[in-house]
Amino acid sequence: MLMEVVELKKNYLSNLSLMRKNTAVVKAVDGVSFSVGRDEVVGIVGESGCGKSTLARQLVRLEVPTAGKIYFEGEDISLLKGTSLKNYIRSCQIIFQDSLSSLNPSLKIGDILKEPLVNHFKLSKQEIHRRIAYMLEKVKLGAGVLERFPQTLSGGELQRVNICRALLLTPRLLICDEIISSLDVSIQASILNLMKELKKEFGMSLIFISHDINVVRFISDRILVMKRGRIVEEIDNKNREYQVRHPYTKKLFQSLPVSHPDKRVV
Amino acid sequence: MIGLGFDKFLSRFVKHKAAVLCLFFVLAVIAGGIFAPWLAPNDPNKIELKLKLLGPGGQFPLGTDHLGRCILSRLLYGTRISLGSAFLVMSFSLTIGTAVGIFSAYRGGRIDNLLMRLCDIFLSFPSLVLVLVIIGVLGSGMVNVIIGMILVQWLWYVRIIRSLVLSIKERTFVSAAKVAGTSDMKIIFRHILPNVLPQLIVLSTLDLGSLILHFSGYSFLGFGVQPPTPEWGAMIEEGRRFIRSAPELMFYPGMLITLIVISFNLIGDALRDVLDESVT
Repeated sequence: MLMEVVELKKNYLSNLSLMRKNTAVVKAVDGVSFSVGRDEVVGIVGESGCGKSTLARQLVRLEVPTAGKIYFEGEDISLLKGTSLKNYIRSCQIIFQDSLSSLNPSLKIGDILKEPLVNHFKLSKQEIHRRIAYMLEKVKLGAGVLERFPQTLSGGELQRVNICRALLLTPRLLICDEIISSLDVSIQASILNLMKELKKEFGMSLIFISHDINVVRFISDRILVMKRGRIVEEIDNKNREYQVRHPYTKKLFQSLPVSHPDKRVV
Repeated sequence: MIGLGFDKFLSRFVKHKAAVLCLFFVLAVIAGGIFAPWLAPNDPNKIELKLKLLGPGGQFPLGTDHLGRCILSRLLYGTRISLGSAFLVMSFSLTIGTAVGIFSAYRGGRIDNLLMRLCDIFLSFPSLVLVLVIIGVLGSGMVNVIIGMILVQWLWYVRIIRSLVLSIKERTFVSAAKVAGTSDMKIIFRHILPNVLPQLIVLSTLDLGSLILHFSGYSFLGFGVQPPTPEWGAMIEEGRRFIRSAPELMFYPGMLITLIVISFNLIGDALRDVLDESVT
């Protein structure tokens, strides 16, 4: 077991004021438990606003959980601080939905890619260049992008840069938060295939978050269906036989466009 | 600057012809102030009552004032104080304001809330009144006026910079930098500051004009520069008594202040246009 999440919760106080007491509480993540095995791809599917992204941000500690535990290789990381948090983040990376906004517009791609290496390792300049060049090749980008600014690249290229940045730290677990939803369909497919390849090559686990059940079905070993901050159903995706029980999941599957009406899965 | 090379920035800026003209004018005035000892034809403080209120020409290119002092020399030396004090107030209040604003926005929570309410309290007074109170406590004089202006001005920058930083802080690249293991200090200096810098430059250019105007105003009221030191606002005040017989005593420094303020505004507008273009 690589990661185990136990009863994770995140509440937001909707009203921060000096005078009044905080009243309304928004439960973004409301008691989520699941696990991720070594070399496993876990897909999380759900409508927008169901807490997928908050969950993802908690897993890399961009948000501090309100309650619950996150175990990574047996160690509770939900309350880590300082150096130990930094070390954990090195083995658990995240890629975000908005590929352009994920890159600082005032820095060149080359400088952006150097950042994780400089932060975590003491490497010579040549070694940094060598590693970046190696990883750029893996995500199928030319060395020409290094001298360019983010806003001059296409959506697909940008997301490859983001993947490259995450992989430079050779994480054990990579969280992909809607990484293809802002791309057009032809590029979506190429990025998905790239993720499959990279997963095999680097032997890492993936948490793949999307609102599109088709995408999640394509890449995942196991699918978690999320609704209103809770996981309502867990589906084994290995043999592609679906026995879904929860009405929400049924709806999700029914919403899929199929090539022929007789081919509906549920 | 937001992924805009310097040459590209320059080529866009020169399209704003009025602003380029203003920039040259401002640079010329600044150069005049810096090189005043070599450029000034006469000693700015030398009183020669026999030569008072002379017209332009000869030894005195712009004539003399009511004490027989060379107006051109006084204007040149006055640049040092009028512009210098504005730059001084700007750089100090901008530095303090940026530091506090970034800290407040980045920390968030209770400290942020407290700082902002403090700002609200001070900003609810007109700045003229606040500066006069500070001068009242410290006593009049150029240094005290500058201190007073800094104490009032930085509060404005805290607010503006805080809101700029808040919008940048929520962008995904800050989260991405955190996940890449970047320390808070590095995030501030590498990721946040460079992205608010363009707006800061525009803001400070636009504000320089009003600071010059304010400082001259305090001198005009008799709080700032004390005679015989040459300063534009003080020169207007001295010339006020001779407005009927020698209006040029007020005209020259008044015109200079007007032109400088307009110039800074036009340059600021052009900078904003150029930087807006680069964002979209």
